Amino acid sequence: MTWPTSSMDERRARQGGDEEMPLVKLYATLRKAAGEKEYPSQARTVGQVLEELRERYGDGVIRYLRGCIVLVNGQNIGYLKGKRTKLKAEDEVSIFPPLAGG
Amino acid sequence: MLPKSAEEEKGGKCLMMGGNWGKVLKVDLTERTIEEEVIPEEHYRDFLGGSGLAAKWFFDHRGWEAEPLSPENPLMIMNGPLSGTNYPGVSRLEICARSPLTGIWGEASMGGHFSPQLKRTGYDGIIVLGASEKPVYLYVTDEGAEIRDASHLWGKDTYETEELLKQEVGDKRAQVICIGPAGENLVKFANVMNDRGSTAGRCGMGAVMGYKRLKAVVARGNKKFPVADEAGFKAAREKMSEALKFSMVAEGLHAFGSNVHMEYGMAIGDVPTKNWREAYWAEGPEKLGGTTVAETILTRTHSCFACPIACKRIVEIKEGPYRMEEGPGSEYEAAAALGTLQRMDSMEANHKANELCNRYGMDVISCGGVIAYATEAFEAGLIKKSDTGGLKLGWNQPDTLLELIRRIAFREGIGDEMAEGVRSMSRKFGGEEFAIHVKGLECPMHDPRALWGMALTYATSIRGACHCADSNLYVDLGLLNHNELGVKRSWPYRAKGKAAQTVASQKKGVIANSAVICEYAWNAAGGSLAEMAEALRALTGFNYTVEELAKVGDRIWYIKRAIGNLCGATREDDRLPRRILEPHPEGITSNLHLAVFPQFMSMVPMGKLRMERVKETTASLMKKYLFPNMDKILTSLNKLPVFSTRGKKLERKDPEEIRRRTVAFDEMLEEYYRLRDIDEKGRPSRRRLEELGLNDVADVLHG
Repeated sequence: MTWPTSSMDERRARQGGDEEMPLVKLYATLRKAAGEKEYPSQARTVGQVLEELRERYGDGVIRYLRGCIVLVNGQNIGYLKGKRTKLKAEDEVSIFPPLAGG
Repeated sequence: MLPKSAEEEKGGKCLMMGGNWGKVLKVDLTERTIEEEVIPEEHYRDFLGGSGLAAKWFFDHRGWEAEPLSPENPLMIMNGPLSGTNYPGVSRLEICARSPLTGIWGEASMGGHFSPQLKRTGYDGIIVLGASEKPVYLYVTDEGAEIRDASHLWGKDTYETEELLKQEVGDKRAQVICIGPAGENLVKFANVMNDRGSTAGRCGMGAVMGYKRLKAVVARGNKKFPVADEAGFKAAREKMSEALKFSMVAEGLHAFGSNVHMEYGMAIGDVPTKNWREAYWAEGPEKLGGTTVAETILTRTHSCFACPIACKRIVEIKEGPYRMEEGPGSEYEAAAALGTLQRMDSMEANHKANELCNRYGMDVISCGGVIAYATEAFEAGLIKKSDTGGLKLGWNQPDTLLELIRRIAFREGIGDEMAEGVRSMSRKFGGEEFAIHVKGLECPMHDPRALWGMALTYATSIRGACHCADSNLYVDLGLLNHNELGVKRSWPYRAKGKAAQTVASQKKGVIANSAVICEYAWNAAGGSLAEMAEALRALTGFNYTVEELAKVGDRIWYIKRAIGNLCGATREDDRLPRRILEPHPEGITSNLHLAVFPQFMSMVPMGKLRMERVKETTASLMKKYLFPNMDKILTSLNKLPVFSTRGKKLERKDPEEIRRRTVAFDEMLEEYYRLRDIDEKGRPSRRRLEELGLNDVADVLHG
């Protein structure tokens, strides 16, 4: 299994310390609005991540969070506990705004 | 049949319907004659236009009796009623003929800027018959049409041809559709190009043009066509534009192109990798995805006619072995077919390969499919070095990929075999189990194991494996619903409800290809049939409603299905290769389906569930049924794909596990046949055809 997509060592190096935190990855238009690809999160649940995003990037990102798809280690939170899904230090949270192409 | 239009009800006959000219141009290249053919108004009403009207013409003229590569095969270049208006996303042009690749009904849709110019010349389409001895091109203007010599253009690529023809006719606003060397060399999946990056890609329409020695069609017009209700149409248009302004899907397409899908697609196992052998390749989207392109080589965006989305990418690669002048970049299908499918991680090579396909005039999907097949066959020892002229095929070999594209276009060495498509190749070299096609058309880049709806989409699409013939992709992704047709959306990994969903999706898909409108634009704005009915009602003056439009969708689908039958297609042809139904043989063994969750499920207001009455009912049900049967329930839950594989890896030796994870294709297909009323030979029943007013089709099909 390749999730999470980056190794713990890589992530520690990026976070510049030994402290382990869940990694939040942003995609497509959400990434563009946030101006950032990923960041280590303080949140302990998915709901807190969504709150954190609003605080971190302002109201501009709210529109991308409506109907967004949230995966924790590759699993949709719909199969977990939704916004109440708890996060562990090694977890990777991927957030996609609603999109399609093909 | 449809109810009468407002004018007809008043007692008089509508003199001219809106949105159409009521006539097409009929060109015979053998006799070198050009004439106008008037199309009866009821044909427009019942078949709209575009590929629907083309199918009706094809049927009426017994087109199936002609071989695909013969002078008698009619090449139909068709507009729809929406073409040439300023309704968002109506740049599309439909090109139809019997396909040399599949042998059955072929159609391909293209964006760009040709369609409005053709509309303004005063014709709804051009039907080309016969074949010229010398290369020619067709020049269509307000004054009529002219067959001109194209000997000096034969051998030129599509980018050059377009430039030269614009100079030759001395009008920069003239628009050109043309073929490249692939079409001239009758590559079975040659395409027709416009605006450098817009292609009528599938089914080998370029080969049909090549056979007729028709290098190009140039159009330039100024005529204004009638609109039945100007104010009504303006209101409908504004509603659609407003919806697009706030559409997240439209915003994503604008920012990153159709390739925005690659990252999420890979997360759910929808992006075919290594000839459909792997479900997940983490580096793929990072190297080839739309976001990466936007951050690196993108110079600007480009739009088709009257489209506010502008999903086209213009890129430039300034240096390196794959240097490329500023021009159209890969869209999703090209990024996957000439990228992940070859497990190739070079974005530059991918764009170069896309450019080569564009210049030579070849469909990127079929081209990628045939190269991936050949690579696997080479690996398996079915194709040998002696067959390839010493070329060693393999995964992630950009230079080999580019060389193969060139050889296919010019039919050199192994390229001559590859130019026939994977079905033909696999019959010659073997390896039919990994020749991924339906009815001879190579599968596009969406994996049915990720979204089960795509299995039915591929198997029952008229022209073979096609993802644009219906809106199942959007529905399975959770972005659209068919509530207005009374059809519920189904779970991504359950057979239940998929057949009904597919039938509804096909109704909409057919309307898009006949009206004619871009599926991206329409679906991004919500894909509402009611809004489409409103726009078409105002435009044409025919009394379309949601029900009537759904019926038109059915009518067109059935006539095309019947044409397929008359060309020889049966139930046996509605099959999918086992490779794309069973769990992936390599890489991670995919619990990726846990990434897809129907969005509407998460919108259930939990507050309501806490209501006392619900609590009481639930408690009593649990007491009565759940607890005494807990063993049975847990066992049956474990059989459901969603629950059974959570976090587990596939035990390859366990046949039961493999069975559970395999797409329940047969079950879905049986249900689909029942809903569509298809008999054991794969033909629509007489009763269903007659219900739709297709008595003539029933008589020919059932004798």
